[in-house]
Formats: sequence, structure tokens, C-alpha cells
Amino acid sequence: MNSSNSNPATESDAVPPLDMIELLPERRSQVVRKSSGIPATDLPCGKASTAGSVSQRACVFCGSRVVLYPICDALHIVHGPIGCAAYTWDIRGSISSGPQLHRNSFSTDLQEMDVIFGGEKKLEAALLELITHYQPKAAFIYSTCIVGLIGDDVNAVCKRVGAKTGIPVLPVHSEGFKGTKKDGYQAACEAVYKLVGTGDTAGISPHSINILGEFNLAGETWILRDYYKRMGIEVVACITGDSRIEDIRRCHGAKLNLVQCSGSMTHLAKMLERDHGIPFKRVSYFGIEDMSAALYEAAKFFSDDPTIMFRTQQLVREEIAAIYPELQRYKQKLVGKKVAIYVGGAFKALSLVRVLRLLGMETAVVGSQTGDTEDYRQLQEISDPGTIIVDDSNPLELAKFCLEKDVDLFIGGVKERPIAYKLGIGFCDHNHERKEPLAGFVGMLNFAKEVYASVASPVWQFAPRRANRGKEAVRP
Amino acid sequence: MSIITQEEEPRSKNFTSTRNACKLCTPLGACLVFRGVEGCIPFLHGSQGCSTYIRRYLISHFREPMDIASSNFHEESAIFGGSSNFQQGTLNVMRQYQPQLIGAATTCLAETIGEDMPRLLHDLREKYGDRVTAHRDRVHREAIAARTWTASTPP
Repeated sequence: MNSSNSNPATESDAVPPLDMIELLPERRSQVVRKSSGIPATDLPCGKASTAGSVSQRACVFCGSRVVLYPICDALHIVHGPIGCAAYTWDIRGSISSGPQLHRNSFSTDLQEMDVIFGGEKKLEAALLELITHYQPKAAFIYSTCIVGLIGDDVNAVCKRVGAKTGIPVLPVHSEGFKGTKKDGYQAACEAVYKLVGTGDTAGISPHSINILGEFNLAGETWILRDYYKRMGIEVVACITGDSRIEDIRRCHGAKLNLVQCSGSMTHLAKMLERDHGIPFKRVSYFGIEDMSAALYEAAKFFSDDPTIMFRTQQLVREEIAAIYPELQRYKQKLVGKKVAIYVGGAFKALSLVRVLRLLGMETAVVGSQTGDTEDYRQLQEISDPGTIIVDDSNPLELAKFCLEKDVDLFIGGVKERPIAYKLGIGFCDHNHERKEPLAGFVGMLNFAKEVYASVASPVWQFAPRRANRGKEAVRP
Repeated sequence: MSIITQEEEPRSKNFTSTRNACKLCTPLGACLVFRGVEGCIPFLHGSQGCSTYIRRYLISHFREPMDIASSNFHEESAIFGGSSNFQQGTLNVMRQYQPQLIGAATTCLAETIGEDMPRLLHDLREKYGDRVTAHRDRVHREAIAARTWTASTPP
């Protein structure tokens, strides 16, 4: 053994306290501390996660699966080993007003022999069998790592099955090793775009929009649809929350696209702009400011009908008046509390920083899995000095930052929840598994309520770290 | 969890596809076992998704933090082999977690491209001593499923 190769495992066997852990050298450039007077730095984002860093990101397949999952009258079949299908079975809180087909888990369950001899025959048989039984309006076939490696011709199988069954059978090229989650979003957009333009656009109002990147978590799409209906604007398709294949086929008849989850759906919006001349705008439905801005954006676009703007103003006024007094009550209790945010997309993080400011709370740590350079630039601009901005973080780093900043609340997803609870910190779920609608004006109130319930819970006084608050720091 | 939308077909028929199968993949079993050992960090040799999904699944089940490292294959690693990812990944785990044991398990990706796990482990031992344990998954054989099957079949 070469003596110059020091052994990091034996060098010091004592595990350092969480807040003393050093960042991995490969990760240092992806963490920025905002300091006043210094221009925003560009984070090298979009690069693959560092091996062994225990990233919170998932793979390409995950990106495609979560985006297309809410299309509820389509058959979603995972072509690959059983694990990929089992772990994505019904994992989103997207609800449907009709068919529930999307909540099932279908897979070709590739075995050793299929890997050796190819899985095309199995895929074709599985598709024919499932389509005959469930009579879906379309079928999405997700390719996983293995399928990419053994080189099954999924496109040819889809073509054959499509011709036999008469429904669109769409391959989604989401091999897990292909890139990051963003490449999965792109693959999903490509697949869904094959449907666009095949439907009849007759009868679509001149004041019509598509909502892109909204997934009907806990029924949020229905809240938004109601707002636009009250404004006098027709929603042609919501892609993909509570959507039907029929809506997606005719969505090119709309006059404007509003993109919420910009990370996943900007690609589709750009394709719609290129081929059908539909302009798109980035909006967010979280928080009073962003929600109102999103509604006004659409009203301004349809300026040929001044009654739309009038109705929008009335709607915003009514809705804010209904929630404002209660929001103020929560604000009194929440003012000055510190928050750490780690979510999937950075655009959502931006909205959250604004919403928290409205509640009088400070953002101390903010990060995302898939943000781009522009998102991080904006985050650096709007956040307070001293804020830690991080791309593609991992559990140890998040715990370290939470301890360092002594936050009172963590906003994240299911993988971050136990980190927060172990540290004795309140938690608010803002990911795709949540059961509470957080979009719209009513969502703002739900959010304040949830944050208040967690932050002000008396349970934290029993957490060891909290009990010693103000005294010397102790390891949780 | 399952939503059965229509009457299921008679059970006697042989299906090609799985429908709402209560069956998980091999690396999950490996991670579960490794995680039970004190000071052990499970390490999956394959795409990032495998480790993140298994983490998500186990976190939801146990409501406990569950850190599983990954060698994070890219397209190049799938073509040219993932030995450098394995080296870097294990080194990073040692740096961050100071584990007493790293439990390395292969995923279908690593097995299909034919990663030479004994050699990778040999190289690692040369460098850092005997702290890495390997669990060589037999591709696509579900350890957990096999066990449930045995339990449910009458003797």
C-alpha cells in the first residue's frame, strides 16, 4: 500500500459534529453566500451530481414520470425492471376528476432472460394486453436504463401497437443515465408534443389559455380554473394536471400559454411558440403577489376586452379581502422566524422567498435540485445578505446549514422531512406529495396556516437542541 | 394505494405485464440489510435515481433519515464503465460520513454493462484497507419478492 495515500476513514475515526462537516471539494462552487455590494455569481448548475454526494436529485426517468403522471386517461407503462415502476407508483398528489387509470402501476418487469434476449416481444404483448383491457385514450411507454443499454427498438414497437389498436402509443426516452432530471422533463415534453395539433380547435374562445406545468396537486388546478372562468377566460388544457388526451390534442387552439413549473414545461411552451405561434409567459401561483400578477398577466394580454381586466380586479380584491385579516393574525406569530428552503425547482423557491417575506419571515438558506443560472441569479438578487444559496444539495449539507443559521422552519419534500424533524425544526411540505392545496389565494392561507402550525408547535421545546437554545450548541 | 378501475380478469390467465405488483427490486433489499449495520453507509453502483428512489421509499416507510450514496452513472460511465465514479463516490462517502463500513451493491445498470466489481473492490482495498463489503446482486432477482412468495405458498 502506498503510504502517500492517506486513508480518510482511519485518519480520525471520531465523527465530527454535523455543523462542522466540510463541503466536498467538488461541491464548493455550487454553494454561494449572498453578501451585500458584491454582484451575483453564476452557479455552475445543470451539471451531473457528484458521485457519492448523496444528492437529493433523482434520474431522467423520474423527471418524465412525474411530468406525465397526471394525464389520467392514458396508460403509463414502465418498460424495465420492476423497481422503476414500483418506486413511482402513485407518488404524486395529482388528483383526477374522472378516470383513475394513471394511479395504477404497469410494468414489463424485465427479467434476466429478457435482458439477454431483448424485451421487445414482451413489451408488445404487454401493451396489447393492457390496451385491450383498460381501453385508454393513449399510452406512454417509459424506457429505463436497461432498455437504453440493451437497445430495444421501443419506437418500432410503439408504431406497431399504435397501428393495431388505433390509439397514440408514445415512447418516452427516459433512460436514467442519460443526464439529469431536466433531460427527463424534455423527453416528456417531446412525447406529449406528438399529441398536440391532432385535435379539432373549433369552438375555442378568442380569450383562451393553456396552463402549463401545473399538476393538480390536492386540486390546485380546479382553484385556478375557477379564477380564470370568473375572469371570462377559457382554459383549453392544463398540462398535465387533471388533463385528458382530448384536451392536449387541441391545446394549440389557445391564444396564450402560462407556464408555471418553468423547469419542466418551458420546452413544450417553446415548441408551441415555434410551430403554432402561441406566446408564453412565466407565472407562479404561490402567494398573493405572484398569484395576482399571474391573473393580471392574462388580463393584460386580452386587452381587447376591457371587461376581463375589470373582472380580474374585482376578483383579486374580493379574494385578498377574504384572507387578509387572517393572514395578519398568522404574521404576528411568525414575524422574524428563519426559514430554510430546499425544493425541486428554483422558480418555486423564488415565489417562496417572496411569500415568506409577506409573512414577515426571513429566508436563511435557499436551494433547489434543478434550478438554472438565471434562477440562481434572481435568487441572489432578492435574498437578504448572508443567505446561503445552494444547488443540488445533500442531507449532510442541509443539516449543516440549518444548524449554522439556526432556522425555525424547513420547507422541502418528503426526503427532507426527517432531516428537519431530527434537528428539532418545523417542517412544511411543498413538494408533489402534499395533500393541501397551496396555490391561489386560498392556498396562501393554507400555507400560512401550515407554517404557523409547525413553527409554533409546542413540541419543539422538548427537542434537545431547542432546550439548549442560547446556551452552547449541542449535537442533535 | 391501488386503484382498480375495472373488474379484474379471472386469475387463471397468465399476464405478461405486471399490474400494481407488490414487488420491489434487489438493491432495496441490499440497502435495508446494510442500513441495519451500525456505521454502515449503503452505496449503489448505478444511476442516481436508484438510490434516490430507494431512499424516498425507505424514508416514507420508516420516517427516519436514510442516506444511500450512489456512484451516479452518466452516459459516458454507461459506455466506458463506472470505475472512476466508484472510486470517487466511495472516497466522498468516506470524507463526508466517516463510515465504519461501506456496503456496495450493484444495480441493473452496472450488472448489464458487466462492471468488474471484484476488481473495483480490490483496487479500493489496496488503497484504503478492508472496509468495503460487496453485495453482488443477481440481476433482476427479487430477494424480497422471493421471500413473500415462499411465505404465501402453502407447503
